[in-house]
Amino acid sequence: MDNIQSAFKNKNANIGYIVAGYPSVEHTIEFIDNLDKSVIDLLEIGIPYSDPIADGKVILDAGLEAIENGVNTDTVFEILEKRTSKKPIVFLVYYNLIYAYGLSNFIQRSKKCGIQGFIIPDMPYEESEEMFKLCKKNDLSLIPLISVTSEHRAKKLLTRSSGFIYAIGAIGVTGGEQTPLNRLKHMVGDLKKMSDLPVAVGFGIRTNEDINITREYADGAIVGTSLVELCGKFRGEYLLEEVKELFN
Amino acid sequence: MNTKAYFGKFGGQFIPETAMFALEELEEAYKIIGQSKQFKEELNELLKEYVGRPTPLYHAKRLSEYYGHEIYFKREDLNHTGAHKLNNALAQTLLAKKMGKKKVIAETGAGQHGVATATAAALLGLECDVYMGEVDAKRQELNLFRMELLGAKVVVIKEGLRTLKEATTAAIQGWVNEIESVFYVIGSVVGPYPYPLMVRNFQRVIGDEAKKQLATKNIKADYVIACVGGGSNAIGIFTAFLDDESVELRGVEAGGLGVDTPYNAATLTKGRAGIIHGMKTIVLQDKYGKILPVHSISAGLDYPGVGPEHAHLFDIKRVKYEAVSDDECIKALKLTTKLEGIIPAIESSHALAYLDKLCPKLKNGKKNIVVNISGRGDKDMDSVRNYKKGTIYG
Repeated sequence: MDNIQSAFKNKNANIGYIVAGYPSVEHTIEFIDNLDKSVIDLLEIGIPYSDPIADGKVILDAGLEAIENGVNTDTVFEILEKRTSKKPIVFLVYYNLIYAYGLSNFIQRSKKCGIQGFIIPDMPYEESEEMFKLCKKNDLSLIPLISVTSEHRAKKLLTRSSGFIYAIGAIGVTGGEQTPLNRLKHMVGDLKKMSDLPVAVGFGIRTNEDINITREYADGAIVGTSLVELCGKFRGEYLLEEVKELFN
Repeated sequence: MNTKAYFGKFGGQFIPETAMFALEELEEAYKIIGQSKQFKEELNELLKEYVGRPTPLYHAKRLSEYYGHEIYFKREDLNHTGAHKLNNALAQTLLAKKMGKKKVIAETGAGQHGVATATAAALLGLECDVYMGEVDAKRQELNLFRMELLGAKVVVIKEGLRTLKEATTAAIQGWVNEIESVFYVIGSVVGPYPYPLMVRNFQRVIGDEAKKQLATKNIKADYVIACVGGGSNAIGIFTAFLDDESVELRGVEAGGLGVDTPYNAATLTKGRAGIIHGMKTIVLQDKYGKILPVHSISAGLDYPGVGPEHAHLFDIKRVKYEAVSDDECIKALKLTTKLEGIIPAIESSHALAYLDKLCPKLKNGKKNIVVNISGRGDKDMDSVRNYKKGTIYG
């Protein structure tokens, strides 16, 4: 099984987020090659973008550095086309990058290199119809982001959702302060009642302690900012060890 | 697709899910509070007594003589705080107050929207944060000081090109961070629905007044010209004339060092459809969708996108958009100052520079041309004094 659901099978999923091409293309290739040996069950790959409105400083800077290094959508596809790891990978991508590439072209090429779904932070339900239809046709997941501020929209959002539910753990950009736990738990509980999809929490989860707390009430913890920081400092076996400690 | 959010193919709501409830809340408040008789009366009273409306429609006699056509200025520079920006900032801040918000935030390029929002917040007793790029903060230092004097906190952005694009991205991030308690006062007809529609409606007072004033003088406008960055002053004056096809509308973009160089902000001239800052519009971008750096001597026009309604008007060819260079803009600023004793803002000087391109081509007698003087040039004196042809600004 190499689909998204396998990451959640019988256990709480460790979900990581990296910025493709940060700190270099070689680092990213190495990280993906090592994925099967790592504790990560599902990887989100961010395609670097010039104006990411949902990203905090760490991820924003990493993306800008990757762009400075010449990384673009084709570079990211080329990295993934060579991968050997079997773990599920999804894209976290801003809509303009998909739009510029052409929706059909982007989806076809994503599928060809084994991407299993998309998280699009600036594409709310109201703008998702075309993408949803194309994803459905190609058997790819469109993973919804749901926040405590948009819980009243969940029922509608879930009609176009698959893969897993990305519950936003912080009101604000990535790396921000986590929403009060009671409010978050309440939301995740409600989402689980509304859908059979696993619910993973991301945004505001930085430490091993945060991850362990999240495991108590959600099906997965998503770590972005801290993992991007680790990618900037370590590589190879050392990075695997750091990641293991983070999720342990 | 939420069709009401679109102007033709452009517009929409491309914003994080976290912020969608705030757009729903705003749409509702604009519909219920913003359309109420009480709100409109209160706003009109403020526009009259505080902002100083109506602004005059001035016949620029010496410039008319110079060009051989009748030139009229819509004097938005005579608004309190020196630009059209206060019409919209005051209206949005009043709406925010009536919605029970305690704080407003804004982004600014030239500083005029920041000053307008800080002014409205001071008047109405709200907290105010203004996001400004570091380059703009430097070239508009006086406006930064004015904002601080008015009690606003200026958040200086040091990422990327450190101009309006980065300030807008940071303001959206700041808005999402405090989404449940703050109101984002967007300064142009940009961003996700309902902002482009709401700002257009708050700015249409410019064109409505101009149309009435022309009628009073028994003049029929042949051309209406305005500068376009995000495009609020332009939409503000164009809206009243859109239905009258006999009036030709011209939007003037910032050509920077020239549209054949990479150093410009001529979005409609050089861009293509894409998504930026919550809207689908025409954007300066590379083939992969990376937003391109922009360059203009004008901090207020230094933006890689444009309001979605402008993209639509461009698409259906109702408005013609052209670009003028930094150099042409400065020449027009100096000419207007010398002939009329009016120092226009660098932004407005782009609209004035277009007279040089348009007037020599006009045949069949004198034409009546209305130019929107969107702001006054006091803030730009350092930029004008230090201007050197060929310098990359922004």
